[in-house]
Amino acid sequence: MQKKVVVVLLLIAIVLSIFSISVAISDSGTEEVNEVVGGETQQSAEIGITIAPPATGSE
Amino acid sequence: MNEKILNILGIIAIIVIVINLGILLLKADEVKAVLTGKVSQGEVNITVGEYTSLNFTTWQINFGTGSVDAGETNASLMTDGTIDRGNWTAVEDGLRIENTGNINLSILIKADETASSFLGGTNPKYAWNFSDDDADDGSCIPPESTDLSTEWYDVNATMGVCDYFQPNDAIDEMDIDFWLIVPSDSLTEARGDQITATVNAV
Repeated sequence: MQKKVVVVLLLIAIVLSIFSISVAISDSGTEEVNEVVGGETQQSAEIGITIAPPATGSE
Repeated sequence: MNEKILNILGIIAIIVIVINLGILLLKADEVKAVLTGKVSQGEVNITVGEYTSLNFTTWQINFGTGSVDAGETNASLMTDGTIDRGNWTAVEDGLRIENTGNINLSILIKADETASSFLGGTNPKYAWNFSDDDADDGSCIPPESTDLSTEWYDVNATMGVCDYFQPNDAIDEMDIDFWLIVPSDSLTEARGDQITATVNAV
């Protein structure tokens, strides 16, 4: 009888330990996302033209 | 002997059970979440940093191929669609830049060429104008030396265009228009220039 009680207590202890561990794993914490992108930035663009010789008679 | 071991194991089991129950009581919210699958309370802290970003939403202007009309000393081309005394393709819009970051920017604009090196000939003109009227009115607060909209500046130096170029989506764009006067004795063939905008967070 005493042996059965001890086995049950051990089983309960094991189950509770497993549950405590799962709770600890799922414990939500604080997540911080902090993106800092700064400093000098450059962008470029283009302007283009094709110049043909003026028609005959231009100055 | 066996009875003594059983007693010790029983005491250890009871201690472990008490410790675990204590832990679970302290983490009652998490226990509830695990048991129900629902999170009753959470906390997320997000710090959004300053993000410097500029984009030429219109990044290319090309007047195509053309020439000064016969008998004229020059032709005038503007990026509002105006082509006088020449037969180039009309360009209706200038370059457009947008503040795509989340912070005020200062803007410096420079070109690689000048009127003489870009077009050549007698009395060429290569000028630019900066405005936020057609895009997002009020997007740019210029330095005292720069007038927006009305003034044409010769392209020969780096221009401080905006002391504050705003990131607000409703007012975060501005235009750069160009005015070319191509002399009849200009350089010929394909001519091009690169415009560079340099921004810094302010």
